[in-house]
Amino acid sequence: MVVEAALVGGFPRPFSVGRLMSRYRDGKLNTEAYEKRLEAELINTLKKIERLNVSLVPFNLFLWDDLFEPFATHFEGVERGGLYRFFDNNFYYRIPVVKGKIKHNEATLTMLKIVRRIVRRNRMRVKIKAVIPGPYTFANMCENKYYQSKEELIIDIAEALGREAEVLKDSGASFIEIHEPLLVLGKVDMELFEKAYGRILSKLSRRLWLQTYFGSVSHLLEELSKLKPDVIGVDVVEAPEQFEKILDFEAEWGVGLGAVDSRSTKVESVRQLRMLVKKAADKFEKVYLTPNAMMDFIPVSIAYTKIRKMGLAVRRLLK
Amino acid sequence: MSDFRLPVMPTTVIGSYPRPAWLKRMIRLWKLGKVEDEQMKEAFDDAVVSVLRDQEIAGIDIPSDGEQRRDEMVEYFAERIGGFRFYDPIRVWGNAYFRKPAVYKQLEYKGSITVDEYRFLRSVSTKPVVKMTITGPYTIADWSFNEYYSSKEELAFELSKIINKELKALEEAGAPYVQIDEPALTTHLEELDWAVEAINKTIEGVGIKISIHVCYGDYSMIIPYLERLKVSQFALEFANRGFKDIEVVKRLPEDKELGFGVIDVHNRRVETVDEVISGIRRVLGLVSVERLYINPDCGLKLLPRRIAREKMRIMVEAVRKLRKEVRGDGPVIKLPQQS
Repeated sequence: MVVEAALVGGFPRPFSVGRLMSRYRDGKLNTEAYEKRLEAELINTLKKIERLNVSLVPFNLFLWDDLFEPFATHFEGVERGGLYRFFDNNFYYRIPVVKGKIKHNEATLTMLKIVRRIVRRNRMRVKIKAVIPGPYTFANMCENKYYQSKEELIIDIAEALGREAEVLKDSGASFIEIHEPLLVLGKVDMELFEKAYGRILSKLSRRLWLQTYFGSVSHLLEELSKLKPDVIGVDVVEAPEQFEKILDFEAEWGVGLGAVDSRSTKVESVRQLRMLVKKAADKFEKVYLTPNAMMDFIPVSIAYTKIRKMGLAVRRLLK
Repeated sequence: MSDFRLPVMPTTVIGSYPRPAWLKRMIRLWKLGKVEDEQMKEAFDDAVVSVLRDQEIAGIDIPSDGEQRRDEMVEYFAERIGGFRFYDPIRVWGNAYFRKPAVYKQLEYKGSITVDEYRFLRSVSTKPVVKMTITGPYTIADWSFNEYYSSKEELAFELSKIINKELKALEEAGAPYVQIDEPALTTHLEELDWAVEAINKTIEGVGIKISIHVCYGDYSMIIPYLERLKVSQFALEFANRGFKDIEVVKRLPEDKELGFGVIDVHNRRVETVDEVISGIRRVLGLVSVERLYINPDCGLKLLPRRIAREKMRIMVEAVRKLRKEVRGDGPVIKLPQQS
C-alpha cells in the first residue's frame, strides 16, 4: 500500500530565479556564479518541499520555461517559435516548430543528473521523477512545417520521446511522467494514440506515469489502461465527477489524485484532502496526492502553503 | 457639447507606449526609496509630455498618454480598487512575471483612478481629441485570482459597477473618448455570453464615445457576441495575422466604427508605407470610410521607443497618402465645452 504526496510537472519559478536566469542570459553573470546560485536555489526548494512531507518531485522543478522547451531546443528537426497560450491560462509556451525530420538528441538528462546529485549530496529522502510531454499532446501543440501526415509526425515524436524516456529511466528516474493534457479535449484518435505509445512502450515497459489535467479522461480509462501505466494522474479539481468514475473502474494502476487546484490561490483544507485520499486508498493500492497540474500558475508562497496541506493530509491519514 | 469633425480615417493609438529609459531608472530609484514622491510625479508628467510629443510629431490625430504611469494594465487598476491583494509575482512566459492580483473581499470603488491622468493629458496635448484607456471588467476578472466571489461571472459584474463609476467620472471631467481594453475576451469562448453583458453594464448611462479593444483570437467566433456590445467602436488587430479574417468586419453592425489595426506591435521590423496602404485598401472595400479609424494592432509598449516612433510615422504617412484619393467625410466626435 502506497499513500504519498507528490508534485506533477514542476514547481513555480521564484522571481529571484527568474532574475538570475535573465542576468545570466544577458551576460551579466558568468557560468560559474550562475550555476552556483542556481544550485543553491534548487537545494533550498528541494529541502523545503521535503520538509513538507512531499516524497516525489519532478526533476525539472522550475528549470524549464515550458513543457516543450528542452525537447524543442535539443531534438533535431525542431525549433522554438513564437509564444502561444498554454490552454486557457494566462501562461504562454514557445511553440515547437517542426522544420525537418525529428531525431532524438539528449534533452533533459543533465537536469536529472543535477537534481539527483543534489538529493544524494544533501542526504534527502525525496524521490525524483522525470517529466516529458506525451507524443499526442506534442504533435497537436506544435507547428508542423515538414511532415505530410499527422501519423508520420506523431510517430517520429514518439520515437524521440521514447528514447529520452529510456535514457531517463536508465539513469534512475523513479517514474517517467508523461503529460497528455490534450486527452481531455475533444475526440482523440485512439488508433494513432496507441500506435505512438507503441514506440514509447517498446523502450519503457514500467515506471510510466501518465498525467492528464484541465478536464476529464474518465471516458478513456479502458484505452489508457491498455498502456499498462503504473500511475494515471487525473484532475479531480476541474473534473470532480471523474473521482467516482475512477473509483468504480477496475484499475490495475495507481492513481495520481489531482485534488489540489494549481490555478487558484484558494487553499484546500487538510480535512477535505484527507477524505479524498482515504476514499481513493480504499480502492487503489497506490495513491499519490498531487496538484491537478503543474503549479506554474500560482505564486510560490501559495504553492508552498498548498503542498504543506497535501503533506499534512497524507501524514494524518497514515497515522 | 460641440461637434468636432475629425479628418477622414483618423489615426490613433491603442494606448501604451514605451517608457523613456530615464523614466524606468527613476521608477527603480523611487521603489528603492531614493526618489521623493513629488519628484516621481514630476517624472511621470514629463514622460507623458515626452511620449505625447512623439505621437504628435508623428502626426497621430488622437493621441494617448502612453499609459506612462501604469506598470501593467490589470495591476494598475487592482492597486486602486479596494478588495484586491498581491502575492509574489507569477510567471507568464520565460522570465516575464506578472503581479497577478487576488480578490479577497468585497470590491470597493475608492475614488477616481484615471481622471487625473486625463486632466494632465488634456492640459498638455495640442490635439482637440485625446483618448483614455481603461481595462475592462472581464479582463480584470480573468487575470485575477478570485478568492471571494462565488464565480468569475459574479466578480466581473461587480467590477462592471466599479468601472462604470470610473467612466462616469471621466465623462464628468470632460473626456470625449475612452477605450475599454478587453484582451482576455478571446480566451474563453464559453464565457462570452455573460462577458458581453458585463461590458454592457460597464457602459450603462455613459454618454461619451466608447471603443472596445480586443486582440489575438478567433474573430469569427467572437463577432456574433461583439455585435451585442453597446459600444460605438471596435478596435481590432489585423496586421499580426497578416490581415487574415479581415472579412469578419463586414459582420460588424452598420452603426459601429472600426479601429483598424495596421501595425504589428510584436515585430520589430517597421512596415513600409506601401504595406500599410495595401492593408487599408483591403478594408476599404468592406467598411465605409466614414466608419474607419486607423491604429496599430495593440499597445506599442513592448517595442523599443525609436521603432514605435517610426511605426507611427509610417502609419500616418500611409493614411495621408490615401486621403488624397479617398472620398468621404471623417467621423464626428462630441467634445465637451471645456475641451
